[in-house]
Amino acid sequence: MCEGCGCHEMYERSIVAVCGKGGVGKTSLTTIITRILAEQGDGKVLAIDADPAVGLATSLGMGVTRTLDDIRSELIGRMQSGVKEDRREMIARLEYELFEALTERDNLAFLAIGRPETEGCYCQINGILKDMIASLSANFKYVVIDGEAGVEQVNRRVMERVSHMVLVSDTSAKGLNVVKTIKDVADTTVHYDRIGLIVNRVHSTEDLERAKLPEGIPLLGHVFEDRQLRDFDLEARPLLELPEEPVVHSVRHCLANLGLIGDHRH
Amino acid sequence: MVFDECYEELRRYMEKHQGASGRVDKDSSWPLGKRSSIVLTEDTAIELGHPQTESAAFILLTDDKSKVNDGQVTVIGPDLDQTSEKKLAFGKVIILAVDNYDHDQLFDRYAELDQVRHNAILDGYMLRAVPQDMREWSRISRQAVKRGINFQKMASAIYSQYHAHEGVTAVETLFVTKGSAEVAGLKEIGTKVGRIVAAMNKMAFEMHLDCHGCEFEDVCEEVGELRKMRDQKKA
Repeated sequence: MCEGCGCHEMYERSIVAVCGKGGVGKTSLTTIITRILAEQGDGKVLAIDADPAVGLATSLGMGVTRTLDDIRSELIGRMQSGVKEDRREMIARLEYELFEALTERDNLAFLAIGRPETEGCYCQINGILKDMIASLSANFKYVVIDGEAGVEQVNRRVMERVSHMVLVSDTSAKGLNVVKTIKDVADTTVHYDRIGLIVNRVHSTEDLERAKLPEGIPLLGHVFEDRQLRDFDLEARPLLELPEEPVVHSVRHCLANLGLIGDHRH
Repeated sequence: MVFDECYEELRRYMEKHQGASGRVDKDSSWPLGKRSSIVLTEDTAIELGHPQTESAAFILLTDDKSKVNDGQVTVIGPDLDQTSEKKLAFGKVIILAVDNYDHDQLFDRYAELDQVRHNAILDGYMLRAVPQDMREWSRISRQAVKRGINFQKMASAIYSQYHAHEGVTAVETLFVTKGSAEVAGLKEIGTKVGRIVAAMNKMAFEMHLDCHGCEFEDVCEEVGELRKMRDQKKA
C-alpha cells in the first residue's frame, strides 16, 4: 500500500466486482486487476470467475478441473439417486470439494463458478455454497469477481456485498447504456461502497470525447485499444505476462482513482 | 459393543505395523485456531491425505475402558519433523472409551463424538474432511512446522478436546503416515466402521425395518450387537 496516500486503508478486505456488457474486454481487465493486486504482494488474492464462459481461467493461465456448479450438480445427482447425507455431512463434503476445486499459484487462488445447468429449486444448496464462498473469501485480502453482464448474478450466486464495483464499457452507446442499467440494478440489489467506470478499447481521444458517458458514475479512466493485448488474447497467452505499458499502466491508474491501490505517482 | 470386531482388527493392525508410541503432554498441547482459516499451497509445509493420496480417518468407540490406553499416541511412519515429503498418505484413528453407553442413542453419540474431531481446529492446520467417506485432508503451514508441531502435540490437543466431553473416560490416538498401502489397510477397518454407523443411522431414522433388500443386511448379519438393536426395534 502507498504510504503517501493510504487510500485503501479504510477497507480491511476488498471485494471487487467487474461488470459490463459482453465483448467489452471485461475478462481481460479483470485479469489485469487481479495481476496488479497480486503483484502488490500485500496479501492473498482470490479471483472468482462468475461468468459461465469461464474465460478468466485462460486469461490468468490457470487450469480449471472442476467448477462450483460441477460440485453442485454432482451433489444434486447423488440426492436424486437416493444417496442420503445429513446436513452436517453435506456441508463437510461441499467444503472439501470446494477447496479441491481451487486452483492456486503463489499468492493467487482461482475459483470458477461455472454454468448452472440443473433445473429446479435448490435454494438450500445454493445458500450453503454462497456462505462457503463468503467464508473462503474471508481468508483473502482481495477478492476479484469477473461477473456476467448482470450484477444481479453476482449477488445471487457469489456475493451479496462488494466493496468496489468496476463497470466496464467500450465507447459504444450500447455498452454505456448497459453500464447505466447495471448501476441502476446494483443500487437496489448489491451493497457496494465505491463504483467507477473504465472505458475500454478506446480507438482515439476523439472517440472518447464523443462517447456519451452515463451521469452519476465516476470515470476512473480509459484504456486504449492495444494490439499487444489482442495478440495475447488470440494466442490464449496469460495476461499475467503482458508488458506494463500501455494497458497495465492504464488499469493501475484506474485502480488508484477507485482508491483500491495507492497512487504511486505521488 | 457394535464396534468390538473392528476394535480387535485395529489392534491386530497396530500389532502388525509396530509404530512408535508415546504419551500426550497436556502442557505441550498444540493451540487451537480459527475454523475458517485456510492454508494455501504457498504457505503449506506438508499435506496429509491429499485427495490424490490415500486417506482414512475415523473414531472408534468402546464401553470397556480397560481396552483404551488413555493418553497414548502411536505413530506408524515418520512424524512431521522426520520427513522431507510434501504430501503424505494419512490415517488417523481416535479410540474412545465411553460410559453411559445406550444402544438406542449410540448413533447420536457416535455422530456427536465424531464432530468433536472436526471442531478441534488446530492453529496453522487446515482440515477438510468427508466423515461419511472417512477421508481427511490436512495442510500444515510452514509457520506451524517451524513452531514445532508434531503428532504428539496434536494428539494432546485432541485428548483435551475429548476429555472435556461428558462420558469420555479414555482417549488414545493413532496416526499413520508410513505409506499408501498402510493407510489403505486402515481404510478397510474404517469402511467397516462406516457401514456399521450407516446401518445404525438407518435404524435410527427409518421406520421401515424389513431386512429384505436392505443394503446393510450383511453388516447386521455380521455384527451381533446390531442384530440385537434391530430386533429390539422390531419388538
